[in-house]
Amino acid sequence: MQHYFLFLLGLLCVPMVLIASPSVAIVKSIKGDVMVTHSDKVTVGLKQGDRIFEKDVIKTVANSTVGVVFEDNTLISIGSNSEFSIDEYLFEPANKNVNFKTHLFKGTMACVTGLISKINPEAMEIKAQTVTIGIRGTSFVVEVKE
Amino acid sequence: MKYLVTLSMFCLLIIFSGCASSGVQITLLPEEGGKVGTISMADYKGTQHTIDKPYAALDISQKGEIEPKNETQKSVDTKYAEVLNALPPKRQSYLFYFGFDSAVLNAKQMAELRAITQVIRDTKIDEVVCIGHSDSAGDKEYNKKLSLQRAQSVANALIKDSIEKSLIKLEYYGDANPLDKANTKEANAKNRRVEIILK
Repeated sequence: MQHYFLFLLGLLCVPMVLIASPSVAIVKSIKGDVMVTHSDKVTVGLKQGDRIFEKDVIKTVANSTVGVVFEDNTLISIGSNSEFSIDEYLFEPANKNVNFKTHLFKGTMACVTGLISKINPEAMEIKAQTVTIGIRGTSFVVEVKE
Repeated sequence: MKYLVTLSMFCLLIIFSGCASSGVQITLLPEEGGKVGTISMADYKGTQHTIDKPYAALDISQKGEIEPKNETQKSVDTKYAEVLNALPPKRQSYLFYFGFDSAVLNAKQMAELRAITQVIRDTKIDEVVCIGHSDSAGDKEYNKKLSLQRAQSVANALIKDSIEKSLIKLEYYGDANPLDKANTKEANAKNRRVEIILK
């Protein structure tokens, strides 16, 4: 009987694990008011230690910044009055399956690339307004001027 | 016809709104150890522009014209101080090596792990990633299991030193991510390892 119960419990748990997508980054530094909109359109304020997910859109206001560390150790910071989204993030180093596409709608971002750029130098792309920039393992800063 | 007029007006609107903004600037920064990467992109005519020196920059207009430009350390520090100060510091990582076909830590390594638990407590660490690796000797599936056991040994030692289990994340790559790709005894010894990354 107990076995059946465990089996049923297992059946319930498997889909839950499959549905919950893993986080792709952790918030390490924060100043002022920074909001994140998740893929389900729910917007919340960010604080240190919070998780960031694929499809998240991060927004900062005046005098607010945020710094995050991605799974592959890519470091990204966002300056004031900025809007930034993580469109695609895939990091499976064991199979060398990587992809990292972001979009800076406005404001500034700085980046120190991590393992994704090392594993596949073609994998990292940043969209800023109409342009798409290919990044090959480096540190850089992008500004969308208004 | 009316539809066509609306459509063309809409197109004009897009073009004009495009002119209102003044583009994007990307600036290369030097990395630790003096390394610099490459950023390369094509303008609207298809001409490739490449920058590969620290503080070199590209100015990209809405129309897709690209203008190379040189910033200096000083100009970048002034212009981008805020966003650069917000960058998290590089992650600390530690390596622990293992004997052939072993997932056992020695006494010296246990002492080193205790020092790391102190770092985890003292500096606001949100995640401790333990990544297990094996050398290339033997079966791939067996190596995956062995690399997991190695990561578990390290994680168990941290948990024993009262690091919260929820902070720890286990990963294992078998022999897929060698430090040294050579097929020598020395390379194998370097590849039998667990990397701890503090986030």
